[in-house]
Amino acid sequence: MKGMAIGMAAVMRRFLTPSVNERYPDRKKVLPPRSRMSFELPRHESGDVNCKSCGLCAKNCPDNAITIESVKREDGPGRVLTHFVIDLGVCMYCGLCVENCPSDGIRFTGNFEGSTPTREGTVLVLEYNPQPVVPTPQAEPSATVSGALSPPDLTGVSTQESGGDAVRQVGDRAPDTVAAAEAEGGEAS
Amino acid sequence: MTAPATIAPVFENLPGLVDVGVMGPGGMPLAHTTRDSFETVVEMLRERGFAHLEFLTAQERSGEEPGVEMLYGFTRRADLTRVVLAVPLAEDDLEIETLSWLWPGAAVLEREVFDLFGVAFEGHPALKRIVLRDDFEGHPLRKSFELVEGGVTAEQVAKALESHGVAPTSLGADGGRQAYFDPFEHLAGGDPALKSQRMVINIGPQHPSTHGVLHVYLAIDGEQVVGAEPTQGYLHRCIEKLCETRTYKAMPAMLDRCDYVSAFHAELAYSLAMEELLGIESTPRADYLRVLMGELVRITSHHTWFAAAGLDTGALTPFLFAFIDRELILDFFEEVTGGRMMFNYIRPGGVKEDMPEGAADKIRGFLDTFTHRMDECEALLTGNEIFRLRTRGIGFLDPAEVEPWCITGPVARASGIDIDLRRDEPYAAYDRMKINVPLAYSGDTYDRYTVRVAEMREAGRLALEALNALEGIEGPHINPDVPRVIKPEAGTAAYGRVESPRGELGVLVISDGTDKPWRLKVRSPAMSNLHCAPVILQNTKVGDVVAVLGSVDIVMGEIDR
Amino acid sequence: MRILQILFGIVVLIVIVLVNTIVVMWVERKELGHMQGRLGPMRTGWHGLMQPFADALKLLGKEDIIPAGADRTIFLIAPLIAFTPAILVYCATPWVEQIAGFSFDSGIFLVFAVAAVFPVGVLMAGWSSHNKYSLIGGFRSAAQQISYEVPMILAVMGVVMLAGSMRLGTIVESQAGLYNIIKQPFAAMLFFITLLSEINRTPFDLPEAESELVAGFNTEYSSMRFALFFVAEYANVFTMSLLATLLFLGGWNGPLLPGIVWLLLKTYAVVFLIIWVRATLPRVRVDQLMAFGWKGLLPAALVNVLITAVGVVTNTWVLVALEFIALSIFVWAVTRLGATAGDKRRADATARFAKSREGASA
Repeated sequence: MKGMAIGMAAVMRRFLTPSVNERYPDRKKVLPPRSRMSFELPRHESGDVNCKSCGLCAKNCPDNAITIESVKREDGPGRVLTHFVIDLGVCMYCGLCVENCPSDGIRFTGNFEGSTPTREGTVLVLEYNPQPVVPTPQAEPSATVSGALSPPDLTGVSTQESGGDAVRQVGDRAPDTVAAAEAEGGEAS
Repeated sequence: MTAPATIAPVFENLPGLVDVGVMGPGGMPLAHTTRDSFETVVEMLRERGFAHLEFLTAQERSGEEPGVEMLYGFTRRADLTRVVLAVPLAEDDLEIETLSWLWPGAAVLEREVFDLFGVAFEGHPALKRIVLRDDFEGHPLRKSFELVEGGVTAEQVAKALESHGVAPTSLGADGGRQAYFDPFEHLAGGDPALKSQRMVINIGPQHPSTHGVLHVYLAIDGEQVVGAEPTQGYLHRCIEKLCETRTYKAMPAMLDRCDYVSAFHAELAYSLAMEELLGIESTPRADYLRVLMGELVRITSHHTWFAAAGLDTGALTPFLFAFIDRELILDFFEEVTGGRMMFNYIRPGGVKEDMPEGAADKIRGFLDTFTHRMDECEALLTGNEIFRLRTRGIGFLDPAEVEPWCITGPVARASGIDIDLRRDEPYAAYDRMKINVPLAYSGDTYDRYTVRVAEMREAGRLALEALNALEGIEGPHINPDVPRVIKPEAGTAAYGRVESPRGELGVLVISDGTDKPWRLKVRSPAMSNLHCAPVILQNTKVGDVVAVLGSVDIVMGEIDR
Repeated sequence: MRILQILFGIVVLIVIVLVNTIVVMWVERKELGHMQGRLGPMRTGWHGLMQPFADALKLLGKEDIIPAGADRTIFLIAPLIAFTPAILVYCATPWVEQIAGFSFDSGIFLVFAVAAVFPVGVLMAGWSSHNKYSLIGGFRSAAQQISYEVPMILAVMGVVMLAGSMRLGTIVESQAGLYNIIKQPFAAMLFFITLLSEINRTPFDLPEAESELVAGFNTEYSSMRFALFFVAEYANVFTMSLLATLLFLGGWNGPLLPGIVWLLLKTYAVVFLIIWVRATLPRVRVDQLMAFGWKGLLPAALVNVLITAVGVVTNTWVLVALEFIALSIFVWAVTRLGATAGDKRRADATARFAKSREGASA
């Protein structure tokens, strides 16, 4: 019974030391800066987002979770971001979007309060401007905003090209809408 | 490309070799043979010492002719020579002789190839699907496989409904489970003296202590186990298929999901393979960071196993003791990599980023108290009379069974087989370190326990050594030569392998010249270890089954992939 | 008038038992939590004091599922049969000198007789559930409780011999000077081990060994029927702790404080010890349990009876000395059993494997 006594002593030592529980809702843990939790779009002082709408994040996303739409700026070069939507339901928090962003356009936050009772709640809308700042005359409403919720498009799984070619121009005529690939509803089987 | 001169004797006088070359810039020798001479070649290779079946897989043929190419990786333990044997099969004749009579452990790997590629194995004892449903149609790893919505065609749905409503005919003669494991065959036996009858019980996949979703058919005679067959596939996430549709950069993030309790090792194996393919090297600082993280994750992985070992024998507290320590290490991972379990940290050429300020001191603070913490954990089990009664002398694994069943890692070491890739074939910074490999010689459940506990302590020591070495090493954390878009040369392949907490984990990457791999195969050590269950469960009782199976350290995520 | 008195007594009894059961549940969760570095329930009431009530309410709100293929009648009454003895036992248990259900001469006999009904309920539950795990759990439970009742009663025999009575009140009074745990440490150890088995606690919790049998005999039970099993088990924990207190720890004897306080303090000390053991130990295997019961505890209990007989005819100090010697031998034997477990098979295997390793390398 020596072994048992040693074990009971160890348990008693633990009984007499304070518990390690973090009393979560009462006291929230401060996460290290690198923690990969929720996302945010950093902004300039003027209130504009850093994001240049280049679409690299959507292109690098292994899960095609990011949907970006932008319109061409009329007063100068570049684009204005209209929609930036991440479907956290398919996001695997790998961080490749943050890593590959050339302009510090997207960042992780320490916010881990992501629980939601509905599937729709997992869609994180970071920027949503139905009326773009500088609307172009022929702009037509794009259906890809809610891409994350549309029926799954699994072409990315079975074909070679579409995964890498995630950012595609929707119509060459005028709107210059950059739409990221729709979310994959879920990998089957 | 031709094989290095040292390999020449290996292939000398082998009949039926079509050509001999290397797989890629890494120089892994590759021999092509035909289906007719395949068996002779394998037998002769085996006689020449290539007794360890490293991997058995297949790839779609990329040339003019459609079909599948079987790939067999063999290792000679004596001088650690590795060869790969490729056997092309034509589309209309996807059939090859089984290796399961030489390597019983190959049977399950062949089932996987059958399932995913549709290659039939002649003489296989029980050829049936392993990860997909029995009535699944198509073979997903074929490039011609079209994934439709939900992975099920309308005909399949109709068929499934029909089979529910009408009669269980859809499973067919060899599609159904009965063909492979007939419960009634076991039931036929029994002890005539006791007038006992055999019973089949299913342990899992919803049993509270089967390490996730493992499912074991257990044939029992009273309390005695007379037959066991593990079933897998409940956690299959098509990672190998998904990898074919992702860019090389996204691969570490995908491979993290394979072995989720020691994710660094899959990343590392992939990075080693890619470094070989691209001809780049990682930096010295990255080497030590890889060792540091690899050893810390080995500790956390063994913590998980330790917790399960307690629960399997009915002790609740070891679980919490181990997880309290594990959480502390996960905090370090979060600080360094940003993730607690899925790191996406090690990548071709180095690591993602260096340690942040102050992290080294925190890790050192933990490692200094690690021995004491291990003592506290061990106090609960090692000397405990009941634990010893439960584990000693139970679940023996004969070292003679290790090679036939393709077993590696602590399970093999507990049977006295002295193999450890970190020492034998050093990668990262292991060639600059001294590694003690803990061994045990009776191969029972308790020995597997002691080997792993010793490995945890050794990992703590190695992590501290790496941490000390990191202080003196400056330099970049990633090789600046890594190309921005990774596109290895078409037709090349590389195989990276590391010693994961469960054994030899390998990643085979085959490139077709695009930015996505043509084929990516993960050699899962836990899968081979698990399927030796019929061997280690011999002469055990029902109460032991979970404890014995738990001692091979099952991580279903890695087994199913 | 007499009927009213009886009814009142019954109500008081049930309330006392349930209140203590709830306290035992709470103590278990808190103690286990702190022993594992956790806190245990914290949200319901002060340090989770209302948690058992919350659990009970939750269970009441659940659907009462009767599995298809179950033997319906037996399935329905099994929890009652398991629950009733847990309360009935208190008829014969004195709380303090003056308060007792029935203070009659064969009190301890009644306690064991009534407690022996519990495995019947468990067996019925296991049999009727139409589930392999339940069935095995029920069989194990019955086999285990019957095997361990014998050494348990034999261990208590020593106490009865010393007191010269089977009346629990008399047994407690006989310990006014020296507690039985000093006079009979060996018997106390045997009693504690068999007690753990009787109430299906770790390391003998095989009937509900979740690593093998899911939840054992109550796998298929839900809602209030599950709650009845649950309450019965915790009531049994309290009962057996109370019994251990009465038999070995001097019952309500103690200075300064009133008798009932001493009794409860000692009882909860035993409860604490039982949970402490649960927090530490793994579970034995079923064949080991049987072997230990019949080959270890039964002879040991017989030896204890013999020692007590010697003690009764000589004097107390001879008894104490002999008991301590027997206890030391017992502890040494168990330690050795663990230290050498499987040694022979391991040595055989090592020799055999050394050969096959040579064969592999050659």
